[in-house]
Amino acid sequence: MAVPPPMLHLYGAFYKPKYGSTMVIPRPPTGLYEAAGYAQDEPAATSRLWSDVDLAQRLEADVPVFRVPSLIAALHGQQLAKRPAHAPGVVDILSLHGVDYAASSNLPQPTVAKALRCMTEPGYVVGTNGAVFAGGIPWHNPAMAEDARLIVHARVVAAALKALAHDHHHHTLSFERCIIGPRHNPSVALLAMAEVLRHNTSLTSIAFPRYRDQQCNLWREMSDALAANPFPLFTSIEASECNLFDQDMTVLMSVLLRLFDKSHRGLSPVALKFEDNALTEASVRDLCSNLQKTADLSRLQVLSFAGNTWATASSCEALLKLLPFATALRVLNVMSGGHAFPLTKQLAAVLTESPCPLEEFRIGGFAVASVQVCAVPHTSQFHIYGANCPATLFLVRTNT
Amino acid sequence: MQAEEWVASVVAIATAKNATLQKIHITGVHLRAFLAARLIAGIPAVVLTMTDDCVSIDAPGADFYIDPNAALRELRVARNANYVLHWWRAMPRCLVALDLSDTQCTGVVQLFDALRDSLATLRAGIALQSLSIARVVVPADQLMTFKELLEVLLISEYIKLKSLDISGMAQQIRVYNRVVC
Repeated sequence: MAVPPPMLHLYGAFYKPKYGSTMVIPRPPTGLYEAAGYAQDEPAATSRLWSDVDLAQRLEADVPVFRVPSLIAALHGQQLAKRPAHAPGVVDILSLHGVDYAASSNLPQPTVAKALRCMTEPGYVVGTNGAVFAGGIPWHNPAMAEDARLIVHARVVAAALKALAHDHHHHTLSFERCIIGPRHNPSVALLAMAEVLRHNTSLTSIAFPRYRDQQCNLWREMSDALAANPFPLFTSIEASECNLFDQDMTVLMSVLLRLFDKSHRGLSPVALKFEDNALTEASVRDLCSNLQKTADLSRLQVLSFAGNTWATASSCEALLKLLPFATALRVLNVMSGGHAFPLTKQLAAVLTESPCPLEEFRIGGFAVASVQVCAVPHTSQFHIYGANCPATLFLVRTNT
Repeated sequence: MQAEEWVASVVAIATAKNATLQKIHITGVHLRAFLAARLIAGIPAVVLTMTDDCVSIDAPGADFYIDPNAALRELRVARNANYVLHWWRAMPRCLVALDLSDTQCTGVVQLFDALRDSLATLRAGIALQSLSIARVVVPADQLMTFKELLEVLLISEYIKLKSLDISGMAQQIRVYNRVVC
């Protein structure tokens, strides 16, 4: 008896661009799609009505929820019986599960611009209060992103953050798998984030909104806000994919070091993620070096600078000096753009010595020196591959 | 650092942290094929994910021998299409996720053949849980192979696929049905 797989990805099955461009069809996040058959043209042809699926049950099971736009539309503005939270107290405010197919296969798409519009998909956002916001949520640069991200409106992010600023019941703020659209001015969301940093006294884990607008830079405002918080509890900080340059890190670092200063009874950092920014070796070196000197790193569990061009000998040495103090380290990502991690042997020695319970280790991002074919087994000639490594390698996401 | 030393270091880390380590993710390092094989053989029971040309595209396949008795628990590979066939043949009991999406592997038909034959003959020894062949271009005269692969994938009671991504393939099937059937 044939048993269809429980998850069958069907995205392109009913979305075939007719405009003749070479654009790559958006790549769905793993596990978002389900269907009763695999070769049917339109979702209407499937035998199951997805509106029959018990919503609360599916949310509770932490499985992808919606397929049918009408169902999403029907839920617009409604309060969910249960939030799709992963644990009590966690507010995963912009965890976008519901993106589905582009219901546009029967539409003429003569231009790329129109095709792009057609890639706007039905989806939903669950707000902090459990409300469902339906609407077209386009994919973000699907051809380049391994882990496809969804574009959200800055005003949606801002509204959620403003609510969160004075809501002291949650301890985690996450922006997984979403990014503020390139055409949306993120400043309103960043200012709202500053409000969270200034006022919230319950969040222990925070993430900054992801955005790509390089014209928008409010790190000074956000750093000042963080410094002004009278009772901050932020021990896990993620600033990934948010245009963090060296000068921004300099501003932010001064506040972070004060926050984590053990000589002033500061907090002990638990997670530090600064992925996919524009940091260089200088920032990473200074941060690692200063943290090692001033912070209690015994609770540090997550550390990542992946997606920055940071790994040179000096910055890696600073990291290697920090690691022995991070005795609780569980996740370490030493991927780097532009350079392979140059001190892997020393890293191995440090980690071998360390009692840290490492669970996840990521390395790579750039070619290591490789032995030429003719040199095997004689190792007298060597060749460096990948002098111009494609940028896509820097976009690898950490969740697999 | 040379690649051999690099591989040895990664293996050393994996070995030292074997008690707690669950995942290793390696991307874009362009290892020579035999070094990739050495890496796989040396890493203990963790989940190893290799993406984005972990193996150099100009490495010959002849020296790519994987120890089928490697301690590796799960191997997940993506966008290393030229070597997937080797991995598949060597480690059907270890290869859990296979992502061929967007690849233009010249040997895609042979790969489909191997997948289909393995699925039909290996029976209970297959670990594969996730397969993506999204947007892989299949030559028109080889679509039957692709179709047969899909049939085996869906019918075989020995394979427990949790995820099958065939995005972008339906149009090819429709064309095939229109022209051939």
